[in-house]
Parts: sequence; structure tokens; C-alpha cells
Amino acid sequence: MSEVYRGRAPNIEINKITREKIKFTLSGVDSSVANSLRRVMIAEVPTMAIDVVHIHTNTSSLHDEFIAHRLGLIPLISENQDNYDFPRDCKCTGHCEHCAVQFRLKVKNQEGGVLDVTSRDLRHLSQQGNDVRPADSDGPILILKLRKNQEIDITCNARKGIGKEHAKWSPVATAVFKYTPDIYLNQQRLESQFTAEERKEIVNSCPVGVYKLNEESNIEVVKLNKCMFCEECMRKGEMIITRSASALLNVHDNVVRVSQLKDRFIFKVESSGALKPESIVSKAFTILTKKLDDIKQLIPPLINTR
Amino acid sequence: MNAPELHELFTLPQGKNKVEYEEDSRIEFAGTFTVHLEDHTLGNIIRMQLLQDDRVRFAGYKAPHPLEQRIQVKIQTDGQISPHEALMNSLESLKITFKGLQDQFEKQAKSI
Ligand code: SF4
Ligand SMILES: [Zn+2]
Repeated sequence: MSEVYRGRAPNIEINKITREKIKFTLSGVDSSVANSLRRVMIAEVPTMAIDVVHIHTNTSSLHDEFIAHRLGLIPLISENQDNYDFPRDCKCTGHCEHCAVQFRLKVKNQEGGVLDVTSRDLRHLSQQGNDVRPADSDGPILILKLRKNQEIDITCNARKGIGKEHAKWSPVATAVFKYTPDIYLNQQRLESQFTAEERKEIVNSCPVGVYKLNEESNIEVVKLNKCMFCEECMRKGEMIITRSASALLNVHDNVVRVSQLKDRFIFKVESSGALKPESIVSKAFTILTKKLDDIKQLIPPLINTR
Repeated sequence: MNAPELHELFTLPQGKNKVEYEEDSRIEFAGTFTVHLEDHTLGNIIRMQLLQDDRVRFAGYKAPHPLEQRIQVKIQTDGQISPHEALMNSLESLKITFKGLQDQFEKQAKSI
């Protein structure tokens, strides 16, 4: 299993970064490495999220638990999470400025009509912790709505945590990888045994538009990385061969063949807004390295115990 | 009702060490490491890395129960090195791999 990548150096290449998304290719490692990277990004990179909610007044139409849950799910910008301790590691009892950022949400609808209460209504209780704030630069995040004279008054603490404990602390919306597609086209047979019409059929069989017919009406791969290994194109190719006269020849030799390169992984990571996508990846590496190191430290003392 | 306590994800069970070793009583150069508070994330990479080593005859891991926060890594070597050394080596190579990837990644992320 391991000779797949033996002798190849591990390599990573960023293909694209935007404000909320990153795509990169990881190669020269086997799928266990890719998978632990993925798992750590989802469940073990810490962020801040609202965790303790005190409800003083709530005359809205939503019950308390419902609102507390919604507050928890608001992504908070957590680039500075290193400055905070996990509540379980903090020396204080309850909360302090090292382990919590406090917010207040106090809104009353006095005007009538329907009033939207959004993440923009969350106010910091003190100056400290201003760097931890809702990630709502794309527009306010709706929490609830109030009718005339309805009122809410809530104080809440944002604390540091990881996705393993509750998904609200996960910094990613998606973190997925797939093998790199490898498409083989037998151009010679496609040209000699297929009509232009049949080639077009193959091109159109792909649901994600991997292929294109070029000027000479030959098949060309244009969006390789879009391929999702559905094998529709292979089936179409086989079908055309089977119905044509040359059916008995070469049936085992597909004109179109899609396979997976099992040591090259295409990653797509989408941030929840709490962390920049590139920070998620690099923090995941830091965490993995630390985990391995922690265990390594503990092995020598075990050597002579019986 | 009978959901496991949240703190079990982060605190070692009473009287346990993070890593424990038990020598196999029947097979030479073999033993089982139990690592508490870890899961498939580490188990699988450690196993795959151990299998790269020619001196390792057997390497496998399991997470004995999904609600118990521990994994077991079983190692048998050919006697040239001990299971401890094999595990140490594999952890070190993995560390180098991840460190190398991180450096590459950060360099590229900066220049984009
Ligand atoms: S396997 Fe599916 S997605 Fe990939 S090229 Fe063929 S038809 Fe398109
Ligand atoms: Zn504290």
C-alpha cells in the first residue's frame, strides 16, 4: 500500500485563495496524511463561539434555548484565539478576560412593525476583546425578529473551543479532498471508429463539462479537476462501441478511461468566517505536529517498565 | 441520558497515563501502545508510517470503542529495533513531513 508514494517528497501547492475559500493540492503522501489534515481542520482547530448565555428578559416569540443555540452558531472572528485560554485550562472560576469575551444583546421594538435583531446588535461589555466580533462583513446575521413592545436582554460569553466538543467551534463549512482525476483518451480510435456525432455524445455525457469538442471536432479535456468519477463518459464510450459493428473487437480496451491518482489530493476548504482559510490549514499543521510531539515525549520513560 | 460526559474528551481517565505500553506475552519484540484522548486522526497516520519501516513486521491500530477516547497501536518488529524505537521513529518522520508541508504552505500563502 505504501509504495504508492515511497520515494516521493511530500508536496503542497496552493491553487487558489479567496477571502473564504482555499483550494490546494497535496501530493507525495498517502491518504492517511490527507485524512488527518482534514479531520484536524474540522474538529480540532480552535475558534471562539458564544457558549454561556444569560437571558434576563425574553418576550420574543422564540424560546430561550432556541436563541441561545442561534447565538452559539454565529461565527466570531478568531484570528487572535491564541490570546485566549480554553475555559478548562484557565485558573479562574467562572470567567475572566483570559478565557471569555462578554457580549450584551439588548433590543426592544418600540416603533411597531417588525424589527430584525442581528449580529450587529451584539455589543461588547468591555473594551477588552474587541478583536473577537461577529464575522458579518457580508451583511448582518439575523438572530430573531421582534414585534411591537417585544424585548430581549441577554448577556453572553464567547469562549474558546474545538469542533469535537460542539460543531459551532468548527472553523470550516466544508473541508473535503478527492483524488486527482486521470483521464485517458484513445484519440486514435476515437477518430477512426467514432463519428463526429458519437464524439459529441461522449462530450455531452459528462454532467460537469470536463470535455469539449475542438475545431477538428475531437474530444479535448478542458476542466480536468471538475471530474467527480461518475464514469458516465466511460459508459457512453462502451455503449457506442457495443452498438457499432466493431463490437467484438477491443471491448476490453476502453476508448475513454477515468482513473484516480491515489497520491495526489485536491483539497477544498471553506471557512465559516471565524478564521482565514489559510490560517485554518496552517493551524491544523501546527496542531498535528504538536500532538505527535506530545506523544513522542512520553515514550522513552516507558522503555524499561515491565 | 447515557451520553458520555463532555470532559471525557479532554481529561485523562482516573489513574491512566496518556501513553501506556503492554508487552505481548507470547510474541517476541511485540507490544501494544494505548494512547488516551486520541482517535483515528493519529492512529491511521502512525500505522501507515510504521508500515514504511522494513524492520516493522506488523503494525495495526484500533479505536476499541467509539465512545471511549483512546486508540491502541500494536507493533511487532524483527528485533533490530524495539517497538518503542519503531514508534518514536515513525512519530519523528511524521513530524518532519508535517513541518515540511507547513513551511511550504506558509511560504506560498505569504506570496499570494
Ligand atoms: S467520470 Fe464523470 S465527471 Fe469525470 S469526466 Fe467522465 S463523465 Fe465527466
Ligand atoms: Zn478565566
